[in-house]
Amino acid sequence: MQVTVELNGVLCRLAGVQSLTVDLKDFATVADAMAAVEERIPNAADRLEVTAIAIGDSLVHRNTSLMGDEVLVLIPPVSGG
Amino acid sequence: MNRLTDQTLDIESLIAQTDDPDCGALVVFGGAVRLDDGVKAIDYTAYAPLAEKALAEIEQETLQRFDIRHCRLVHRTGLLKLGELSVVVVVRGGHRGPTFEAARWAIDTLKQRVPVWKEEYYLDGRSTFVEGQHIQEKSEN
Repeated sequence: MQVTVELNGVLCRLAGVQSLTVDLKDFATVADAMAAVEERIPNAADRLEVTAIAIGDSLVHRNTSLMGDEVLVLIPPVSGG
Repeated sequence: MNRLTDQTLDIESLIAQTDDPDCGALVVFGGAVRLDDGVKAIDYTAYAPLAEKALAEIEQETLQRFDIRHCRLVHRTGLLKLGELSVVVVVRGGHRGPTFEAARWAIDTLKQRVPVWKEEYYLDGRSTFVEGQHIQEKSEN
């Protein structure tokens, strides 16, 4: 299955794109998707370790199972205000 | 009611929206782009669905935690020049003590929970993302 991953903040700059599509095996989890993202942007590995993940307007845990039609939104450390 | 906007923040409008004769205290906090180590502008980006939700939750939680009557939070996105406001907090309450405390708590919590990122642009042409903090989830207490 394929999952779309939207990037934010410094992750966009490191990847050079605003979103990615990653191929995953069936019954994959958010953690599997993050591992696939790290393979695509290895220069962001340290940032991905401290990145939260959202689906819609909610944060999700890395052990969350994926169906394949989700859009994962990566939330690197925030700096608003 | 948008709490995240790419338009200039309007403090007067927020003050008018929260006008209340029962409130003897009004605290307004504004965060602005400042001249710091050669910064000439800051580009603010956000993940809007979660940012809007988090800002609304912080407003409600501030109202629950403190003896106040109104709390409004708005955050700007886009490229802001020196002196432009990036965030505004407006709190009204009966008395100054809890009103000051509520405004402080609201801006501190906003910085922890709202998915906004800033990229500083410098006079020498460089730019860099500000190191942030891991986003915090809404507390249960």
